[in-house]
Amino acid sequence: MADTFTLEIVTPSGILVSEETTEVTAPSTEGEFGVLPNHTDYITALKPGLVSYKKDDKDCVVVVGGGYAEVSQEKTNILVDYAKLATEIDKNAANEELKTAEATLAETKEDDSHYAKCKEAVDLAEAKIAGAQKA
Amino acid sequence: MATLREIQRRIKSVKNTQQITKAMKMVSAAKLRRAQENIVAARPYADKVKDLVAALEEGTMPENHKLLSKGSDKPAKKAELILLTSDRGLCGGFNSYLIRMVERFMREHPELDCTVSIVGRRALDHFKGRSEVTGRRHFGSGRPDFNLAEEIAGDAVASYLEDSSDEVYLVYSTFQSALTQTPVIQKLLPIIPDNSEKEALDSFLFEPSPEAVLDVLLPKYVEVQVFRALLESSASEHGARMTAMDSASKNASEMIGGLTLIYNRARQAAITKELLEIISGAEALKDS
Repeated sequence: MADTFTLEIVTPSGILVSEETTEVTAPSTEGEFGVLPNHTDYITALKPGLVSYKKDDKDCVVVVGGGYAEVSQEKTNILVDYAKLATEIDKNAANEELKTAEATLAETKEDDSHYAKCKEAVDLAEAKIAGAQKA
Repeated sequence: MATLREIQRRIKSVKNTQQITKAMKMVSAAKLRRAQENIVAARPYADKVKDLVAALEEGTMPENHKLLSKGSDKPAKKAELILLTSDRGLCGGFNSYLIRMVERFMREHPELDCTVSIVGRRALDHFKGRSEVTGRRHFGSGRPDFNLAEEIAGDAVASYLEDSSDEVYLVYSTFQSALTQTPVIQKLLPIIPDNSEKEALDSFLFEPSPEAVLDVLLPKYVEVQVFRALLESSASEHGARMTAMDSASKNASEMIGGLTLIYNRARQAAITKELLEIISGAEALKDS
């Protein structure tokens, strides 16, 4: 039995992470989930948050936007709109972003078609701040 | 016969133009390379989304999802065309091909009530004052980003779900090489998944449910399609401009060659004339 598996984080602007790893946690719409080698085949939708994985016994954190994850025994694909290494996040910019996102959200009504998008922007900004603190 | 100075002035002006076209060609070549890199970078994401949609479509009941079909066999009445053009000109027939394609589509489908959404200033200028145009957006000729694709796709999906359109088409140029770009009309909605290569996903566990995943995935699929079209269109634009500027530079050097010939001939004629005058003047003096 293999004790590692491949993690790929793919965004529209390219592949961000492609590593052998032993453990991954990711935020699904139903709550956080973890993946170890030989996980059962599994597909789920993701919400904005933090994906963390182990690389050479070090924890790496990636901030991701909405998307989905495809898990199979040897491979985990994470497909998201947005992904950035937590160490590369500018905390001040993220704070600014959160402020504008919250302001837009406050102006949008809950039954508006843009509401989901505004909510996601707020979640993403919060995830960025959380990621910056962890890094 | 133009005077020497006039010819010289024309040569100079053609040379200036040639310098501009040469520079534009170089810039387009660099931008084209970047656009191609973007296409390559976006490919893994697009492929994976496509595979999954095709596989999911097998596993679930596609009839149940609105984006896959509206559940009625009524022929479509209202079509929305999303036209992707460039913001700037000087790229040969790039924009006019696309615009002609849209107009031909409207002529050939008189039964459809067509509306046009426009990306890019060029088509906007063309369709100015026409009633068919609904959405108006611009995008810089620079690097198209995923947010723009999200926005365009979001609007298309919204108008489709609200029944203001029964079908949505994308009109854009596919990039084949720097020399050839082919304008195409591609159906965006309802989604027709590409079933050519599918993996069996029966064993997969879906959370919360296949339908819920499909709900997230299908709008994403539309976004990816739009994003790819934007990238292709941007690469095509730079390719078309490169070719156009290349032939413009060539024409300019041909013109400079021709003008230089005329100039030299005129110069020679002037010299000969002066010589003749001097000689005949000298001869006349000698005789007297």
